[in-house]
Amino acid sequence: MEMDGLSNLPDNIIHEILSRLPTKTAVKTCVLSKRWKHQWMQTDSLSFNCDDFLENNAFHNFILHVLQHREHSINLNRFSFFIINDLLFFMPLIQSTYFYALSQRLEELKTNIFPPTSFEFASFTSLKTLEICGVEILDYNQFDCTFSKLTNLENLELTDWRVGILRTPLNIKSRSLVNLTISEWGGDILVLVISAPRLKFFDFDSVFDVELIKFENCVMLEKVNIKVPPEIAWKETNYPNQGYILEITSIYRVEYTWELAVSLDFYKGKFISCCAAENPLRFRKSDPIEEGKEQRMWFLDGDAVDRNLPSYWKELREHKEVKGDWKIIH
Amino acid sequence: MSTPSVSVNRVLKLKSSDGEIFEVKQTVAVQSGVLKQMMEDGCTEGEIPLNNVDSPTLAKIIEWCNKHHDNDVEGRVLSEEREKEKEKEKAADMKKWESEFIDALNRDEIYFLLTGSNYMDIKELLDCAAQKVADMVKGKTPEAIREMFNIQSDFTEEEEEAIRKENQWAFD
Repeated sequence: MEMDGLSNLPDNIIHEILSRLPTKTAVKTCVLSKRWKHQWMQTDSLSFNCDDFLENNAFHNFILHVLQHREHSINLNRFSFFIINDLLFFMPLIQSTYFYALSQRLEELKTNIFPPTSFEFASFTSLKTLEICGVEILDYNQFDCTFSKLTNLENLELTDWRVGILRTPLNIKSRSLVNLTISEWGGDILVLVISAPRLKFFDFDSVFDVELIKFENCVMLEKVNIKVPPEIAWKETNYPNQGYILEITSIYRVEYTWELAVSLDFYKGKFISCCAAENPLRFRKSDPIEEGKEQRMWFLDGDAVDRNLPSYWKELREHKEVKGDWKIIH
Repeated sequence: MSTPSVSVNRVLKLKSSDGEIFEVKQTVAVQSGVLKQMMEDGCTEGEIPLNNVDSPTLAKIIEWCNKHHDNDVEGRVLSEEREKEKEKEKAADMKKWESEFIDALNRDEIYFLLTGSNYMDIKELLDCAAQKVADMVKGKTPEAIREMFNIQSDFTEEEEEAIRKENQWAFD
């Protein structure tokens, strides 16, 4: 007889497998055999997505069922929670779900739902990883203090944010943050100020316009990737005095950092300024420039290379904010 | 506890459940929590019996560990900067290698890899194999999962009906 390919695994491995599944699939394993009847209750992870359900009511009742029967003594480490529509209908459910999550020492939270006003993301103080995607906000202010309160937060990912026309900067301040990713940014104008002394990696891509990205006191910064769409760059060429400005300040202990790699993908006609408060940053060649439509510049600690954009480079050098020791290699 | 005397040229002799001997460098073996502990305790002389791991599985596990072991550690000839660059190139290649490695395994091989990596306490490999099983299970009905992994239900019809009803919201 063929052997059972799963049921004889030790409990901890079964839980490892179930914790990687949407909770709905995990619960379904209860009918496989008696061995599986209660396994789903003992995982350290929950993943709720209304897309997995045909009806709102089923989703609602499913979550309540899971929260009621889950083994509460097993800490909930990872929680993923997505609802697309009918937020008003789900509000009481959202409230009680987040309330449950608050009772646990949550390390990872992925969601597209803001917690109800009675508490906020900042209440999840044990979080190491936070991913917020697909949200619409009018005001950054509520975030300014949120991230600084999450004193264990190492990874922050903001995806597909739609933001109204507001000229207030988005401030991300954190003493613990290491990785920051902002992708599919849909804000109209963005001024982003990042102050994170432990930040090593920053990835950014935007659907819309970016005015200024500023790093303050990011002394550990190793790698910055910024990508903006060609059509925006094209639009910008009509306004030669504007453009993306990347400002890196206060990397005063640059000699202690491994290296700083800044890569910018853009079309043409951009201004970039880099200045370091105490130590001028030096740039040097890293990868060869790719042929084709998209112009790409790579900077690393050392010299800079710009084969395709000599005229642009000239503009850059003449830009009054540019400081430091610049070198072009042809 | 002092750091274990891990020397580059020293090898461990691992004995699989079916009696085959595998030689593994100490620098590679540290990826196993169990072997690392044994090295720290200084009890790695002679053959180390791994009673829960058969030879085909152990060969796979060692293949994984060899791949995930950074050879550059041995020579220390590379400058720190060069090392860093290499590291970056490697990360992308490694992801590809891992998925090819795991995709080439059949259902039973994955089963033994799960139990083997669990027994030897090799977390990364256990994660990778568990993810593979989760990907296989995702989107399947219980009947399909039973069939795929040859799971025999020991519920009576009434019992199964009752437990379905208890968890009805998962079965819409």
